[in-house]
Amino acid sequence: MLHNRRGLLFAGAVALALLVAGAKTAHAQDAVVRGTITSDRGEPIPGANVLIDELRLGVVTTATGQYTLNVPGARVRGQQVIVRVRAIGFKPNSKAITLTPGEQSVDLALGYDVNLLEAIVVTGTQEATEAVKVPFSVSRVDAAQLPVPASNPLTQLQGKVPGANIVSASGRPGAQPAVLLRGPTSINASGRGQDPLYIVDGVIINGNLADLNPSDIENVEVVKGAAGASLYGARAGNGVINITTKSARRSLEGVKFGLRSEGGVSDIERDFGLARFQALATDETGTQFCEAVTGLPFCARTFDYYQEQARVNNTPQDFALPPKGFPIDPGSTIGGQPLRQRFQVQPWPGTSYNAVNQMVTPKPFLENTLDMTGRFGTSTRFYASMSNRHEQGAIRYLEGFTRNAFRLNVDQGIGTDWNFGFRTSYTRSSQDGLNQEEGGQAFFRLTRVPAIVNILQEDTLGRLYIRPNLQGGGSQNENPLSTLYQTFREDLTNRFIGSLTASYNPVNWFTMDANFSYDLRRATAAQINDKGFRTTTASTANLGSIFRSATGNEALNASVNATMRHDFSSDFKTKYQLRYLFEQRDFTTQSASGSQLSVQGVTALNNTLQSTRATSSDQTRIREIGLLAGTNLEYKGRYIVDALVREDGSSLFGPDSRWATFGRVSGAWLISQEPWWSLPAVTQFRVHGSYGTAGGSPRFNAQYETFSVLAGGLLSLVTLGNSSLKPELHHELEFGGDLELYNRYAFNVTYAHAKIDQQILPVPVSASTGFQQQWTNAGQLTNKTLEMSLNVPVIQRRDVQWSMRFIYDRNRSVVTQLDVPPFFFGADLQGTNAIFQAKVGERLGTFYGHRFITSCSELPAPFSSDCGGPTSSFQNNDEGFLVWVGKGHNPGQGITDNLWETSSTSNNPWGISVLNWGMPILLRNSSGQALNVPLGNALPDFRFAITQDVRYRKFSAYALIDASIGQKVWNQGFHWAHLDFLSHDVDQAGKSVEDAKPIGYYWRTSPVDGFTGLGGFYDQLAPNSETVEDASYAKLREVLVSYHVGPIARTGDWDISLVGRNLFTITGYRGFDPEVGLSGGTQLNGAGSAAINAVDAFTFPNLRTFTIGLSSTF
Amino acid sequence: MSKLRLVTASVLALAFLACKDTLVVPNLTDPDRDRALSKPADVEAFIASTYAQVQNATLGGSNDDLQTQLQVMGMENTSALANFAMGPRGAIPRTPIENTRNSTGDVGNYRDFTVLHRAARMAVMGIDAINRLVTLGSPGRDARARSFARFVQGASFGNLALAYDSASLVDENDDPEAIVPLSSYTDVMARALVELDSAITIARGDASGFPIPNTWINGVALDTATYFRLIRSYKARFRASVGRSPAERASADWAAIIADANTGITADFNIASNFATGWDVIWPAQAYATGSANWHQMSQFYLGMADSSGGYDAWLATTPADRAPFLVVTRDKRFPSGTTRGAQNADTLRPNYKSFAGFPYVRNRPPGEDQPGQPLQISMYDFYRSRAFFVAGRIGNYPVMTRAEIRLLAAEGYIRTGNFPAAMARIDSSRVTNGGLPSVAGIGDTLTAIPGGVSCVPRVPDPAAAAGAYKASKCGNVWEAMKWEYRMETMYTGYGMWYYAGRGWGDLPQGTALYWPVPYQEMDTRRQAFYPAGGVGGTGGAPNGNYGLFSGGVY
Repeated sequence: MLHNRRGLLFAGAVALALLVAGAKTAHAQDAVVRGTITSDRGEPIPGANVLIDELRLGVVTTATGQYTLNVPGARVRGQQVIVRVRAIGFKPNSKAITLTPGEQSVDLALGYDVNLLEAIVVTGTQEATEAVKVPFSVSRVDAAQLPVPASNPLTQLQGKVPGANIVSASGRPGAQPAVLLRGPTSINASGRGQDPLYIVDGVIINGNLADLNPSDIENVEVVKGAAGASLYGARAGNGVINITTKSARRSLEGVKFGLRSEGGVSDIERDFGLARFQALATDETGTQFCEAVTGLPFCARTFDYYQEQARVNNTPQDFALPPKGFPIDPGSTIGGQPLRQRFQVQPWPGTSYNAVNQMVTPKPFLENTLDMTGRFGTSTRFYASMSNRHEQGAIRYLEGFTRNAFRLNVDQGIGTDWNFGFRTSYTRSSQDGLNQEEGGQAFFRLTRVPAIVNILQEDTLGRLYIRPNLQGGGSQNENPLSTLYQTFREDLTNRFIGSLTASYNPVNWFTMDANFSYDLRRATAAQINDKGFRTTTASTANLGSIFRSATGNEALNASVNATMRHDFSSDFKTKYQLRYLFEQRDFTTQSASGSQLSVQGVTALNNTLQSTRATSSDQTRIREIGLLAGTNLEYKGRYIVDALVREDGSSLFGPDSRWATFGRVSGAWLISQEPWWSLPAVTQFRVHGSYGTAGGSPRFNAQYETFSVLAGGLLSLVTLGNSSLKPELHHELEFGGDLELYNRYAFNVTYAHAKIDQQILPVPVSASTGFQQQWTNAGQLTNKTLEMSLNVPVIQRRDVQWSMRFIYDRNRSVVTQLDVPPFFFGADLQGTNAIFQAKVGERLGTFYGHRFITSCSELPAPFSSDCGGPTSSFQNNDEGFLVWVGKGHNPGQGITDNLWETSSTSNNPWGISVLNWGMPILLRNSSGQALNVPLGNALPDFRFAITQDVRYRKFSAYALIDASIGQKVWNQGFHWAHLDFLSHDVDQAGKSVEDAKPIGYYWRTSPVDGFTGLGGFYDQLAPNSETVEDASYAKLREVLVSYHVGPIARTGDWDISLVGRNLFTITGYRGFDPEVGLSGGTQLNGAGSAAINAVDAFTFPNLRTFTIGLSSTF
Repeated sequence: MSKLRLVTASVLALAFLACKDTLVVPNLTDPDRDRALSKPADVEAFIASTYAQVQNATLGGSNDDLQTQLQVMGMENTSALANFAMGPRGAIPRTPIENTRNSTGDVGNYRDFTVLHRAARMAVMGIDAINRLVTLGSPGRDARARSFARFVQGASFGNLALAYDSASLVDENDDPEAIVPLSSYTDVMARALVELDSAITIARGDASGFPIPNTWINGVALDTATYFRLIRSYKARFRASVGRSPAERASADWAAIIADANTGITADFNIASNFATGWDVIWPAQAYATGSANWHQMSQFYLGMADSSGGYDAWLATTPADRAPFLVVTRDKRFPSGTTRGAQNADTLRPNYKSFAGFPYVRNRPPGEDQPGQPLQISMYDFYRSRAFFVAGRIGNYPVMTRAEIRLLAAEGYIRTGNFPAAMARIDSSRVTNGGLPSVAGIGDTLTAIPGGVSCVPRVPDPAAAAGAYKASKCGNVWEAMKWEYRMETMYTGYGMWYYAGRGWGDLPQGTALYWPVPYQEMDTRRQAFYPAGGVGGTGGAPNGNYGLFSGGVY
């Protein structure tokens, strides 16, 4: 055996020697093509691909733009070949040469591709294609356009892709933004969302993208509608975002390291305006508060707020003592005359605090990334990275988000026919604070903190005051920080994403590739309130509680793809493709909870009282099969026709509608390449059009008849099955054009008209069936979208470059058919489940609620004729609201003439029983019921963004302003604060006697509606015209200022930068941040996207971050 | 080449076969009909689930149901909060049930309608499954399951007829996925009584399967005797309560009601509530959730009827907007005694006062916990018999039907049929024993004032008062005494106790809706127009009440 091995080694050595010798012999016959690739401004272009397609040879240029192509002598026959050059950001160039033995020089200059039409795109196309030849709109964003890494790859697309409405609805570190491409596509997306299909390196992603390190991204391609996304079939109706991570395709031999480190702080830019003044009853000094004592005269006893706070909170127990009552307590016990008589103008005694400022505290932001790019020989290339990101956020006691990510991408060629690509990443991330959002404790309670309250005050045992707010209201007056420092909550995620692609290219006309990809996400959550958990009043919560959950998402997809090319002539080139795709997605979840711990500090569930324990679990599997056939025809390089058909089978469709067909026909005309084109200033002009269909799949359980298993094992009927349930069918017609002037100025425009038929809706069924609803196809949504972009390289000199990019989009999404009666829908949070209405002709996302009248025409006759004049009974007050003042008065006389305490109790509009003086009036119907009317739309009228990129020698500066105009937000947190007179607009200090309003002006509506107020803005907890407010904004989204240092101590190539994210917002919105919304939720009638559920309710505000970065390559 | 074709064809054929199977994925999380009703034991368990649906529809599961509305409309409870339509339904003057999309209370209006229909549908699905399987294992088990299903079907129809003006009469012979036509509430009630009788008949036919396991109605193992008493009590309740007006209530078959009531329950019918096991009485949890008097207030108007201090008269005489809660000084032991608030606060704290077994029934709350509200609707008293139940996390026995209710239905029947001794005995049963009030024995008409002189209980607003109509009170008669006992003994127990009785007695405030229209959501499924009910002067609105609860009367 040993002998044999030695023999083999010897034989190998001989063979190698012969080969080397042969090679040396052959070298004399080789052709060598050398040269330098530069920009048209003379700058060398590193990393450009230089190819001779005929010989399937290619190299990459060095840092100085040089290249050398060695052609073995055996392949040199004096033939004509074309040397082609491609580089990202440049237009390709080529030169025909005669291949002869020996050296020859070919230098080429590349023009800047300001329109990115020469970039290769792979999304939606049947194979990688130059953008100029793609007959539908694909937006491509390269890494160079993503200079400010975000925690989520989607966040950094904000303002960069026209037609992509990306809303960071929550500022919770690690949160994923909501994405709408060309507007909402489903009236109801409950349980499935409105987000597009996400693909990373061929892996169809099943879960959050926060597990992906954005620094690994090479480019992102966005196909926004069915006209382009048909290739992806039944899941692609909402569009596709395809992320490609970095590889070493343009790497030179050897290994290159990249290092990037960024550190700084995050905080929150804006406040939401808690009241600074109060309207409580005090003694004559204004420092002692009246105490409610039955049987004693008003204010017979007083107390000191601080002493009472100490008495109530400074107890050894786990709960506060009941505080003394206020005789007039804006927290709860108020009614009648005080609502008319008291004006919130009194400053609080002692020190005033701002709870928002106390809760928000700047916290560190740190990110370190090390990557490695290399090539071994001509066949092995790799990219590897590791990164750590830690965003603590800006909320006291919370730790934020930590992500450790690792990636290895390898490309391996075997011979000239085979190529393999491996893409793998592993991420471990943790997050906290989930339970504080959307009605959770902290941000809700923050709306109820008077200015006298110091939420950082500690008792003698070193604990935060649990009930620093002494006013009525129970647990909602708990210190907003209490759960943040008492509750342990951590969400931990482990994520592996991997793919293997094999490509076989035996001949020029045939390529076969296969892909297998796998995505595994395991997430656990733990929430523990330990024994001794403090509350405002004694309860079993003091004994603690434990919640644990584990969820698993697992997806695998495999595809086989065959592409054939045939040129009928040099003018007429054709491609044909066949594809088979299989997908399987599994989801499992288990959760368990219990309360009343036996032992402090033990977090096992068996430490809870057995009778309190509860468990739940869910398990779903989805399988899909796709069969695709397509063709692409190109004539004379300027007429392109593309067509495909895809047949999709899905386990999500009803058994009687198991398969659905989608397809696309599209074409492009490169007009500027016509021989007759005679406008030299227009260097490129093309038009394209596409019509395609794609699908929107139902949620998992929609097709099934379902019973529910209630607590105790009892059964109940839930959903009537639908064996004919089909996917939503998206039809999209898209037209567009690309115009380039003087090889510099680029303008793109796209108009898309989409109809989404077969809307999947949960329709109530007759109660006589016993079931609650049935999912059925019952409507149509129509989207019209206009997208534009303009690239302007203002200055393009070697030392000074300044370019600008503008994008604009406008979308209208209207319900155009509804096969069921109109219905209201919304989100999960209290008061939000019926905020929108679906009816034919209605723009999706239109808020419905009560309206306070502002115009005389809104009053019924004859009252409308006694309105508007200086002595009329109804007049507009200083805020524009129409109020009743009685004949001969005006709205400024309420205090001076003691009119606030008057009312009209007969002969009132709509027959209502009472109209209180000066109070806002709700629009009503003829029977006196307050009307639900449209109040504006949650989706923007239009959006635009401006990017500035300036480079001067070693300095560069980049800024992105992102604007969203015309959308409304229901400011529910602000609305809610009215109930306790804790929103700043209740403060009257500084107002004139004429303009000041009593507290009742801001409180509940009146007995007319069954309430005890006078007709104020709180109204009831539902949208109204005062609290559904304009939320237009322009944000300075990203700023980067950097200086290229160069090598330090002859090592590396260093840059230092200042980075800002969300630095400044221009808006008239009164909440924390106009960019806000509630998550998709689980409610049956849910819009399914935070980009539509524009409700500002106790959500983490977005973070503003300022950092210093240092980066280098070695 | 032919081999290649054969292989290719085979692979394709296999692929398509594989596709077919591959895309069939079962729902492993949620049961369906095939899996839930395939085995005898499962069918029995399914039928056993059905009474929980009735309980869920009426008292459990969600505050967004009719119970919160029924209580404020009957003035058994009041609240000025918007939650679950309590404020709007309790508004004075009354507003209609709009029954339009997204209108006030629409979720609650729909919930009871659907859940009660579901209970009935599940019951007949169970019967259909027994028919399909032929037997559950023995004739006794078959009869028990069939009887229970009929009982639930009857209880569902009965409750639907109480609340709604129409409902669907589902049975095992109809297409379970078709829309069953609506029937009027009188037809629905008639069918309810038939099904309840059927339940008794089936059980009598073979009682070998009894008692009903205590999981079917949580904590209650019913032998045939107690089962029949329960069913007959339901029949008494349904027959008496279905009338929308005094005339309709008067025309009820009172002889049958008396007969059923006299063979009805002999003790409070309690359900062992524990929401973790699917048996819930949810309202008490919310009543105290945000402070005593937020979600829950008790009307001074009704509590004042116990007052002997003159406070009630003064209150009635006060301009409505200026009325303030006053101390009810009364000899009725169901109230705390004392002539000062402090004394009543102290007397409230008697042993077991927080339970249904203890006294007083209502507490005088600490003054710092008072809340504002509509003057007609607030007081300084809270219903506290359910407090211990609330503190226990809604776990424990809760009376969903009291013995007093059924006994007093018989009393009402006897008054209506002229058997005053029998009526007085039943009134005194709680009046004397629980209230410590003077006996009404011996009174033989409905005109004589009840004993007690100036301390008589109850006093009622006097339409002929010297101070003006309804500006002062007078001693009630036995009719009022019966109603007082009914209100005291049933408050916050069953389903809409004060409301259903109040509409039949003509006591509801003017304009109070007398029934619920078929919810618009259901009318939408039927593609029929929806319609409102109630409101002052509106269709289905209560006329001026006996007690002056109308504009120009008490308010």
